[in-house]
Formats: sequence, C-alpha cells, structure tokens
Amino acid sequence: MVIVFQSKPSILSSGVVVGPLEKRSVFQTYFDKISTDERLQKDSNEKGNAVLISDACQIILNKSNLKNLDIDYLLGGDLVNQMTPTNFAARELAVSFIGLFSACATSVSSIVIASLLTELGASDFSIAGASSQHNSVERQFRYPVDYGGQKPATAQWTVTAAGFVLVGKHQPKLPYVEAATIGKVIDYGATDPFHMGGAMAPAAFDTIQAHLKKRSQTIKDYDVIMTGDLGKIGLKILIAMFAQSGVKKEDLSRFRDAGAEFYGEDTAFLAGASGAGCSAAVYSGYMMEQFKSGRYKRVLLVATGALLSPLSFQQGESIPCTAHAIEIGMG
Amino acid sequence: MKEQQYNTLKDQITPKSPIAINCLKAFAVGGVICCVGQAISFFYMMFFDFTEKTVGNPTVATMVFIAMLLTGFGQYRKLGQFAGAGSAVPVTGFGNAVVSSAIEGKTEGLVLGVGSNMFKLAGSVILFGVVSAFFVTLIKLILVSVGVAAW
Amino acid sequence: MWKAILTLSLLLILAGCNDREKVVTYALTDNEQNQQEIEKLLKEDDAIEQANLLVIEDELFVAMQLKPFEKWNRKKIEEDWKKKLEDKFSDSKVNVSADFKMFWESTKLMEEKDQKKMLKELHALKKLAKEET
Repeated sequence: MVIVFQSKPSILSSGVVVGPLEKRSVFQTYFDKISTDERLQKDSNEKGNAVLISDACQIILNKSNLKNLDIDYLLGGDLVNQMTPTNFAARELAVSFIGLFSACATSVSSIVIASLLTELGASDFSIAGASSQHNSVERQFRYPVDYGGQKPATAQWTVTAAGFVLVGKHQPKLPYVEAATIGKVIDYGATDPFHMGGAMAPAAFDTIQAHLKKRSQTIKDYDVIMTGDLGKIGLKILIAMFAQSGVKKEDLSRFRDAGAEFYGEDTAFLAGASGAGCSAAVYSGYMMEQFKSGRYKRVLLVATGALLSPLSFQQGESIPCTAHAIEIGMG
Repeated sequence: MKEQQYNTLKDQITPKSPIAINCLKAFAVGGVICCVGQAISFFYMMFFDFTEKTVGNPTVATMVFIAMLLTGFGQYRKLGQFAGAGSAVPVTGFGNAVVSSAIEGKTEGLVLGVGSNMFKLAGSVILFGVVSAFFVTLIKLILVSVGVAAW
Repeated sequence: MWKAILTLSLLLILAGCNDREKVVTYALTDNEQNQQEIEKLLKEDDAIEQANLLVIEDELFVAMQLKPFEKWNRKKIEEDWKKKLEDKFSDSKVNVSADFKMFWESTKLMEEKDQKKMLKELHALKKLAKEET
C-alpha cells in the first residue's frame, strides 16, 4: 500500500486553468488562467472541459520550455463518462496517454503513477493531474443545472478547474515526491449523494493512518495534511476521528481541506468545493507555491474520491470511497 | 474505527436540516405563487371572456410561461434553493423541471438531446398522474353505478 | 416605525374594500313587490356574500358571490336558487350563476344606459355561462 520513492522525483512545474466562477476562490491568485466562459467558448460543457485540460498542459510546456514531443507520458482523468474530456485533450497533446479513474482522487493517483514511471527510469518528463467541469458533472450525477431543487447544507459545489503538474527526475530547490500511499476502497454504508464528505472521511482516515504507520511518522512530522474535497463538514468529521484516536488538540490544526477552503466563507457554495479539479487546482497551484516560498517543508496531500455512479445509487448501493496520498518534501 | 461508531460520529457532526424554518419558507413561497396565480386568474376574468370554469387553462399556461422565463434566466433555481417544496410542488415547479432538462439537452441536438431528455424529471409525474387519475375515475365510476355518488 | 406606518395604511386600504350593499338590483319592471321579495330572500341567505339582481322585461338574472367555504356547494346552491325563483316567477326566464365573471360583468352591465344594448349583453353573458372549456 505504501510506496517509498528512492530517487525522489521532483514536481518541476504546474499549470492550473479554472472557470469564471472560480474567480471567487480564495486561491485565485495561484491560478494560471481564469476563463471568462464556463464552456471556454466551446459549444458543449464536455468540449470545454477538454480545453481546460489542454490549456493547463500547454501552460506547463510554456513554463518549462518544452515541446509536447519532449513529454513521455500524459496521465490524467476526470469525472465524465469514459473520461472523454481527458481523452480529447490527450488527442490534442499527441503524447503517450494513460487514462486513470479514481473519481476526485485522480489528481494524486496520476502523480503517483507518474512518479513510479520516473523512478523506473521510463520517463524523463510526465504530465499528471485531473480536472472537472461543473455543468457536465451536475448533468451526469445530479440534476439539471437550472433545476430548482433544494440542496442541503452538506452539499458541495463541483469546481470547473484543471490542475496538472510536470513530474521529472529529482532537481534541487523544487518540491519532490518522497512516498505515496494507494488507498483501499472503504465503504461505511453512506447512502446520501449530497453528503460526500461524510462518505469519504473514513477512506481519508484509513489512508493517512496506513501512511503514518508504514513510514513510522506522526502527524507532527508534517506541516500540513491537506485532504482533497471532504468539505467543511467532512473535515470536521475527519478531525473528530483523529481526536478520538488520541491525537492532541494542537496537532489537529495541521489538518486542512482544499474543498473546505476553496470558496472561503461564501455560503452560496454550501459545504465547500469538490470535484477532481478542486484538489488538482489547489495542490498544483497553491501548494506548490507554498513550497517554493519556503512556508512548508513537508506535506501530506490526501485526495479523496467517491466511487459511485448515478446508476449504482439508484440501484440502492451505498457509496464506496478511496483516498490516495503523496508525501511531498522540499529539498 | 468500526462502522457503527463512525456513523454515530457522522450523525453527531452533520448539521440537521432546519425543518421548521424550511416548512415556513416553503409555505410562504408556495402561498405567494398561488396568490400570483389567483391574480392572473382575476386578470383573465376581468379583461377577457373567461369564466371561473374556463379560466384554469390560461392561468396554468401563463404560470408555466413565467416559470420557463425564470428557469431560463437562472432565477428559478435560486428560488428553489430558498423555498424547497414551495417552488417545486406548484405547476411552476413542473414547468421548471421540464424546461431545465430541455436546456441541458441542447448540446445533443433537438431530437436526441432536447426531445429525449426533456421529460427526464417530469416523466414520472406525468406517468403516475395519469395512472392514478385512471384509477380514481374507475373508483368513481363504480360508486356512481352503485348509486352512492353522482357525477 | 416605518413598518408600523405600512401596516396601518394597509389596514386602512383593506377597510375601504367591500363597502357596497349586499344586494344591488337593476329592474325595469313595474312589479316592485316581487323585486323586494327576491332582494329579501337573497339578503337572508347566509351563504351569499354579495349578489347582483337584474330584471329586464322577462329576463331574471342573479349573479352572486358565495362565501369562501360555501364555494364547495356551488352547483347545489345555484340549482336550488334556480328552482326557487322558477317556482315563484314561472313566466320569467331565470338564470342563476355563482361565477365571478358573471358578477363582475353584471356590475358593469348595471351602469349601462341603453336598454337594447343591455339585453344583448345579457344574452351574451348567458351564453358565456354555458361554456365548458
């Protein structure tokens, strides 16, 4: 379950592209490009999602002075059926493509595989990340965007964002991937698709504990443990779980959640942000900057994902979840 | 942590939905929508040749038209988030369900997109409405034949 | 303070509504007594909130507004009144309606000066009352 990277592959660069509504995010200064149109001037939401991804990858190429032929692998995924937005973006990039699905945990699972390929020596440069687009996800998993249904306070808002990073051989003065944990599928019987935080918290708890145990670490070894999209309420539940397992109160403040903080205190977004793009955008943009500015030295990024489909839910199944973690250090 | 233990913890931390306030909000908004409907009825009766018996049709048509405009401009979902059942139960809610599904299906064209998806949410309402109307009429037919009720 | 003024003015406005007679009659016959009788009957009926009575030549038209709860028995009340009036005045053409439209139109009709026009409009009203959709 826990992988340790001896060669410490580095995160060389990142590209984050978001939609117009994400301008209201507290992380907006860390986004490379904020689009003015939810569909990025395309005639469908799914096509716009593909543009989000190819734009983010292009930003990485521009920043690191590379051409798409220099890239060995593109790894990514999204929440739409058959991951077509990522598939179509991969077509644009014309690079060896590995599509992955871990729902909202794809942002981290893609970085783990990219790091493995780099460690193996099979890759010099790989682009890894994930994305989501609000309208296309709402259409697939919930109700039409204009439908007047009332969402409870536990509901989260799927962001329109794509966050990708460039993974390569170790370089000094850049954040590197030291270890990773691939999560198991945990299902505690949650059945409310409007309360994802409550469904995913046990998976995050399990993955973090497994990582800490195998690495012989405690929470104090990290500046921050940031989960992907548990949301305001899911984060509270996770913290309560750790409190019950004996973690001291002053250490509990090290827990943060990208989804809970994404839109700040804006109540229009209920319990916070979610989606594959949420963790991807915050990890790739904001988090990497914190390393470069020297604020953080060691961080555990735990992206969480709910592995359900609208059909499985209608068939009466509960919501199985998973969480993947990467340990990022600075050196 | 065991499943049972976790679920207890989850229920403790998850905020309960404020049922009383939600009911009041739904009641108020539903009432306002009905008042608007009544005003439209009076308008049709006073300025056009509709009687109380016949004014139902144009009133419903106008209400659905208004709901359609509000849905298209993205305002009905804001009303829905506030009012819940207050805006979903009246016929305007039905109009909203149909129109929002139709808007969503636009990207796949008129036939496969709009046409197939339009009644995604409202289909059940129509189906079960017609079926229950059939059974209710059947019961009334039996009662009338027996002599207990009159048409 | 602002709210108090608003509530007060609202109450005053509402008090200004509903200040007409329970039964308003427009008659063009000499038979005063009959007319008084019908008026009295209408006034006594507790289910009726307001009524308009039109007597023109041999046409007898009653348009009434029922109290809210009585609206459930609308059809029955209309039929009862029709039978009652037909028994009393067998030589007139009797029409009774509890419809708001009839009431509204008959109120407007009573302002009309020209008798011929009034008759024509009355016939149109009667036809309207028979419409189903």
